[in-house]
Amino acid sequence: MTKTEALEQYLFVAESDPAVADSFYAIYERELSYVWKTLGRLGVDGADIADAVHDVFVIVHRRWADIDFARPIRPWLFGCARRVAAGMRRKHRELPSPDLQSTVEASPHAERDLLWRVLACLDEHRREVVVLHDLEGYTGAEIGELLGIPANTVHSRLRLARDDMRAALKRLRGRQ
Amino acid sequence: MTEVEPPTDDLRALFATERDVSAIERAAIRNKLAVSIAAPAPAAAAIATSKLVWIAAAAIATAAGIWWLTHRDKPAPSVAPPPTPVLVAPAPEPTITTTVTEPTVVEQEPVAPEAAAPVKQQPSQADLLAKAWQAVDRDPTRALALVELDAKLHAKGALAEERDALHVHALVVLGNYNKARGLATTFLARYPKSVHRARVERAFKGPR
Repeated sequence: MTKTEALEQYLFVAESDPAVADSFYAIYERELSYVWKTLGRLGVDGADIADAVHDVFVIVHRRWADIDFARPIRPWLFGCARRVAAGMRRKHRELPSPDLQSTVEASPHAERDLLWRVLACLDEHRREVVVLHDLEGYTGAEIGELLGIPANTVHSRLRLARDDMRAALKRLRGRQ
Repeated sequence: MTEVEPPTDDLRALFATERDVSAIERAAIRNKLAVSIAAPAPAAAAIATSKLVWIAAAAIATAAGIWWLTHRDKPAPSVAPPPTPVLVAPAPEPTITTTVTEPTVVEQEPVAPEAAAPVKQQPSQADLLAKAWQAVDRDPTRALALVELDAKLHAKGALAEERDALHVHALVVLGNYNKARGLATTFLARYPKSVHRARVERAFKGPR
């Protein structure tokens, strides 16, 4: 092997190594559903969710060398999804689209996406807590560690989030 | 620490309605992802290329310096100095002399194509087809329009087989079986071992 080939292999190993590619797609197949649901739960619009999932896995691929596979990958994926979702929400705030809004309202997925629509009505901090606790099964202490907040704050946000969800559910069902 | 009560029945019922990713959406995302990760992002690639050029330049300069130091007392070779290694990245070659061990770095930010020429970018074939896959079951007319647009923009694109399969599928969803059958026959002759074969063959199961 020439020096140039060695350098090339060193620099582009993640692109060319079939073992890495196989592992990447194995992670993709295993975690796609989790990433998909997480993004929907974090308020990404149903029409944008495939793009958002794509963006998360592109990040996974680019950061492959930094991922610690000795630890569970989901908290890392959740962090990634959280940033992508925030970016998508920001984009929507900057580019208000009445057409898109009406499309979402009239979407045949409206009933199917009811949970995500209810969650979208929540304050961002409360939404994260209810998603992690009620939908993903993390404990208050684990959520506190993940989000960098005290466990008591987790519990109070959770109670408020559930109240908000019931109110939003009532409002959305009343509108249908 | 206070114990948290489990969610009430109405919320539990709501959680149970959550929709998962469908097989079609799964395939569409994977196809798009395969295209995206095959080509490194422009900005990252530019930075990597720039770094690579300078790493290579420094290595060449150092090697040349060592060579010069070890060979300067010997008779001059009849051929020119050591061959310049080929750079991995296709980038402008920096000027290198044997007396300089560190190249003078000229600050040169990679210019994004968009910044250089603010032209509206044409949607990629992967983008168009991913959107068409997403739309096909709930809005087949839109999916068909996307497929037709893709056929115009990327007539000989790498994903032509997928586009043709999607075209047949969209026609089936629309109930246009006659046209779907015609296209399905052409498709199966052109791509007899296609992974989309089963989907395309559905065109023949419709009403005659």
